[in-house]
Amino acid sequence: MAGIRRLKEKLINAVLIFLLAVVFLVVSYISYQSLLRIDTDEAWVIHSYQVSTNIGVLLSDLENMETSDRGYIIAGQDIFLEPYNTALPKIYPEFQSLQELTKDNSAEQQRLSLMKPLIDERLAEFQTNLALRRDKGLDAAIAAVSAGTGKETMDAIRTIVADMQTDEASLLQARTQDLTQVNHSMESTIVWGAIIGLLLYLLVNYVISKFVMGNLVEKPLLERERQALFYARSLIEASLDPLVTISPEGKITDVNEAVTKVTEVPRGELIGTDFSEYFTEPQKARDGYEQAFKFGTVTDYPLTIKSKTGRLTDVLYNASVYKNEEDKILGVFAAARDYTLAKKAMEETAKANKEMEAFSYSVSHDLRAPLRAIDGFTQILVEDYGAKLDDEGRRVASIIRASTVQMGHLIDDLLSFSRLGRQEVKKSPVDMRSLVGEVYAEIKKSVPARKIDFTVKELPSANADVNMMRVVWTNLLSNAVKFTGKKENAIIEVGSTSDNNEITYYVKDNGAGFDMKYMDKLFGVFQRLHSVEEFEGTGVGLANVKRVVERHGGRAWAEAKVGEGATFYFTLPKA
Amino acid sequence: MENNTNINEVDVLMVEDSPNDAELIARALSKLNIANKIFWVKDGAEALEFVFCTGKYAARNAVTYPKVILLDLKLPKVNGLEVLAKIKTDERTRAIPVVIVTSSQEDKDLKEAYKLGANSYIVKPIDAENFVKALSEAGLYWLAINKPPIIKL
Repeated sequence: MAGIRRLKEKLINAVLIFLLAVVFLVVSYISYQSLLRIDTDEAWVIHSYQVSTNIGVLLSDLENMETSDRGYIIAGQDIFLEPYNTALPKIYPEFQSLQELTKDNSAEQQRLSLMKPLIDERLAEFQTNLALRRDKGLDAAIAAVSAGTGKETMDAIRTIVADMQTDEASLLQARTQDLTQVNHSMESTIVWGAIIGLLLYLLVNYVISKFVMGNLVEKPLLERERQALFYARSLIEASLDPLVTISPEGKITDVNEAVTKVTEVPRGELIGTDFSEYFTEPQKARDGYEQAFKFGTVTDYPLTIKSKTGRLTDVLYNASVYKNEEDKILGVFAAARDYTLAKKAMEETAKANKEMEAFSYSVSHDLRAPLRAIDGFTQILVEDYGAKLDDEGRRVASIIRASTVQMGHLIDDLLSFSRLGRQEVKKSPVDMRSLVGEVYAEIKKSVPARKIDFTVKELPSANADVNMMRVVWTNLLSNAVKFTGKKENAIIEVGSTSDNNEITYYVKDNGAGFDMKYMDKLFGVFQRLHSVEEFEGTGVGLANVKRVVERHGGRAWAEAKVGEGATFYFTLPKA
Repeated sequence: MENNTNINEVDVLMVEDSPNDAELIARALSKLNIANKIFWVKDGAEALEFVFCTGKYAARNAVTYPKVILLDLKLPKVNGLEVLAKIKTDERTRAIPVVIVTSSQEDKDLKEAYKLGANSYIVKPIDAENFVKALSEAGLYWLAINKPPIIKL
């Protein structure tokens, strides 16, 4: 199919170019012919001039001879014969060449043939006269001349010559006219030829570009474009997310199938209407796309679509502006993502968190009261009945009291651990350096007597929840302080390293350390690697650290050597 | 613990639902060598009746007021914050110093109590020793150092 079309196009192409060539050839041919005619005409013009001139020369030679002849007759001196002698040998050759020249002209040939005998006669007469003068003298010659027909002959020759001249003149005129005509016609031929040629060239060009080229290039291009357009459109229609384009005036300019489904409004009725009409909060919708126009994009913008029958759909909108080739904003392209499930999940999580909160509150409150009673009344026992107790009795009482205190700590720690898990992570730039200083100062206050070599190295600020970071540093630093408690010269160092993606902070101490084989347990809730007698604590501190750090997208780990110290690391992502 | 104080001669109104806590508080205060007649009510409703001389305490002389009210938050019937609100919004009673004594360390309770006009907020320490110490110090302050308002009816 395409092949035949191509052939047709090639044929048309060829024909048109052929026509152009033909025009060119025709013009060339006509021009050539005209040139030839001009040549010929020019030749004939020259010819006429030549004939005319030659006739003139012949006549003048004859007249010279006559004059010379008469002169000799009168004077009788040879000097007068010079012109006669010069001219005489020329007469017949001139006559012959005339004959030659006028070969084509029968009229002229006739005249010449009439002229010949006359010339012969005159020349003879000249001879006779000359001889008479020479021989017989002046009087005899004059008598011969007066009696002779010389003058009549000469007149007759003159008449013929005049006729011939007239003839040639009219021939010349005719030929000159013809020459002019040919010149003109050639000029106009060339001009017209050029015009026609140019027009034909333009025509060929036009035809080629419109039909031939169009056929060759446009049709397949259109086909490909159509296919691409169809593909793009089918994707848009296939999308399950409602997709819509909004004009700068806030009117819907295009929708896909999903939009008609979620709004229960047919496509035709949607186009041209206000985008905000289809939401439970129209102003919020308007604010949304205005934001998109202003900032270029808007992401995860929550709205609720209201269908014709009142059915509500919670969605999140992602929208961005789109532009034409001149970078002018044409509108906003908005895609809605069904948010119902996510919203429900979030609501349930919030609800669960609230319940946890209430639960923790009452648990902590209700658990503490009896603890206090145990502690308090044991104390009363010791105070009021201490005299009746022996050492053992008092020891038992103190164990009871210590246990209740321990339980109190556990409750506190559990509560804070749970709260940290539920709390929202509120990120902001945190000056880690000053935070560490603050926390350490607070810890040091509770152990004023201790001598600790505390250094803080480079600590870049982090993007994190400042309260949670306080918990992390409090736990790590108080651990370092606690576990170096038995060392004479406690050394604690805080520093960091960083790479492209994250910052690694560390707290290094030269304290008790731990056996690396228990590393996994280290960060577990209530997991301890030492007894309460060795080092007090509930074992929830590191679990808190791990939880906080993981909620920020980082990790926590440690390295240690028993008796030599430990280094605790945690990372925070840079973004 | 028995209430053997004359309802018209009360220095400290203790609003506490836990008998153990009540006993500990009373014990702490009694160790102070200052006059401190304690009256104990076990729930919020009774506390309000006492303060406003209604119900069970209709016979109480409205002219006299305790020097300080020690108020727990977790109370049956009417909870502590409600009692606080009622005391602090009533012209007649808003001047009475109210010291919240509770085990709750929750931020929201703290904020709300001060917002409603609590004069002080004490968290019951876990261990009794500190508990007794705190109450003694608080008692000393509110009963000896602090000048009670002259409440006119």
